[in-house]
Amino acid sequence: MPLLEVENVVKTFRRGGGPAVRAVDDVSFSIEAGQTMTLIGESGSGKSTVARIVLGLERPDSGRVVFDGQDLTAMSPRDLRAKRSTLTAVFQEPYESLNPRMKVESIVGEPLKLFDRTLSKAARRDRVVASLEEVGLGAGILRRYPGDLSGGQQQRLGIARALILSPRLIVLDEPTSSLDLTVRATILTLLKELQLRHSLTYLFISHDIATVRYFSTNTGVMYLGRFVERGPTEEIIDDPRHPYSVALLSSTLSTDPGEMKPARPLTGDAPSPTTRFPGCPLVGRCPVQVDECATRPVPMTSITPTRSAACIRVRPGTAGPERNEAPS
Amino acid sequence: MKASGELKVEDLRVSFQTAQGTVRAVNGVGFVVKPGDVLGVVGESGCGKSATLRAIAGLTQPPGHIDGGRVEFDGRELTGLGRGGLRRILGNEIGFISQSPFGALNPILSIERQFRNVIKAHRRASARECREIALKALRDVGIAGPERVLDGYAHQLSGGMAQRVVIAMATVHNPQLILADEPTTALDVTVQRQILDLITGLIAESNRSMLIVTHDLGVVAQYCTRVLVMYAGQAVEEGTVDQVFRTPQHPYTQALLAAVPKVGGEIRGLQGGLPDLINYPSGCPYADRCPKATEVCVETRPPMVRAGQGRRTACHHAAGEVAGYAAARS
Repeated sequence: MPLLEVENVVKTFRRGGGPAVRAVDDVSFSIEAGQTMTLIGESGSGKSTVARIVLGLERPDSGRVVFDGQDLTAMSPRDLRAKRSTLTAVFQEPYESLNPRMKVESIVGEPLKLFDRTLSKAARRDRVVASLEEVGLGAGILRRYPGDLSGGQQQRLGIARALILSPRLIVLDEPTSSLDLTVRATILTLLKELQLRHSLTYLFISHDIATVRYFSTNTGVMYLGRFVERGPTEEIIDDPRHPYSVALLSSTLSTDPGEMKPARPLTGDAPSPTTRFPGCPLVGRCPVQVDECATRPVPMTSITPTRSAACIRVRPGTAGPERNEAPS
Repeated sequence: MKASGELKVEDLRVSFQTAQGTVRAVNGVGFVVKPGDVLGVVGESGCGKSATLRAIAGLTQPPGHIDGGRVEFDGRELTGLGRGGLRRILGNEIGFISQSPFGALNPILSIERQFRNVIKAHRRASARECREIALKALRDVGIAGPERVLDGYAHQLSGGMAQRVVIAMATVHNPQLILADEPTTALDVTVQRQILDLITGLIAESNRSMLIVTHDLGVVAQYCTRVLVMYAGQAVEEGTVDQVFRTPQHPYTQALLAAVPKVGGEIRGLQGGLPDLINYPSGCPYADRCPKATEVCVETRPPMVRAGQGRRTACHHAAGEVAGYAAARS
């Protein structure tokens, strides 16, 4: 049984009397224990909203989030809070997510204070030090403030805080995208080590394809709140089927000077998030669209036993040449 | 056709006054951009790449200060020109593209009005002529409905469209050199490539040149002809993109490339941090993180020296690096 199952989740936001934004539109996926699932997509694709729903920070309009056999969306806030000890998060901007007026010891120890009130101060400090050591920081920084630390150290601090309750699942919301390349590499290798050591399960949000390949087992590609493709990471990166995945992956620039992939660009920019699409949301930008794309709903459909895509031009089992054909 | 515009930067030094002391942000950087070159300046936060670009463009503002060095464009020294002289060159012979298109565009003036200001800054033209010039410039950057864009305002544009407008403005006087500061960092990746194709296409068309500051090694690998790697305010390595990416000589360049995830490969990060830029080290700024550092590295700063055809490296131990790196990779 998967550790996390997200089933048909929908979340709509409405500002004032304005039109509704369907931030998450019928998203489903599951993660097996010990694995990493990545959500990839551009800004506005809804990937962070999915993360917030999994963490219980947003309630979905409909759909279920089943974690460790329990439906989080049906739980009372009190039970949900108790469950949160096994479901933690590391966020994008380390500094923004750390209280600048709290010392390292209080920051990392705060979750313990909330979840284990019986713990003595000394025992709590021991746990904080152990957690800091796990992430390569020592007891020497207990009395320091986040502002005294470098970006990489701050993110290690965020990871130490996420680890201290011995969670089973950690949501990693772009944990390295604000970090420099050489620091990013140290954080990614640390997260991988921790995953092996503690059999952690990760939900990883990213827009950096090179990182995703290094880091994750399965990937879901999101566009305008929907999943357009889902499957094993290697397969999605090496052989994307959905025209949006194809465009997204072909636009990443290889750091190998001899290896320029042919561009498969989309036309124009992403539409306003309030636009409603009765059919495929990529209509108008897609290089292979046909007339019925505009009107026919495109549910996620299996194309191989492990992969699915939401495109009427992608047929089950095909090796994918169809996507190269010009529409007739 | 304007005269060949070579950009020559020599021993550039920029510092910032802070409460803690004087931060040496750029510490003796020099390079040449020849017509046809697309030079990528790469490095991580605090390496001085943006401060270098802004100094060249005359945009250094307090608490920043240019302490020394020369910037020469097309045989004229820019550093000694003063505001008026610089203004005749910037926007006309040198175009500037910034990171955030919405920071570069004025939110309360129509796009047409901003175009008119840009055009009239360097030539006489009636409002009607300005509109014609602007429409052509917008068509050249791939904007299909240029009339609608001209009549509108910045907030009505998407990020990709706004950056196209900025590029159209920056190139409206056919500058010989374009300075670009992270021109696609604020854009989505599916738009990034369209914009980079566009800018480099404009360069290649008429043997212009470009200096592009970026932290994205992919942008350099795919769009630049040459690369300058910076660390802690210094240039540490320079060469063609092929040379530097395939056989990096400086240990910092090697570390930078080792941090990029590759297919089936492991990644290696870099421990430690930048040296103190206030009490700038007298030796090599990379010495305390460098696996190859010896006594001479701590004592003497290695100058940028020729290290093969068209390439330079600032490392006491660079000799023999190429062979060693190639062997380690195979």
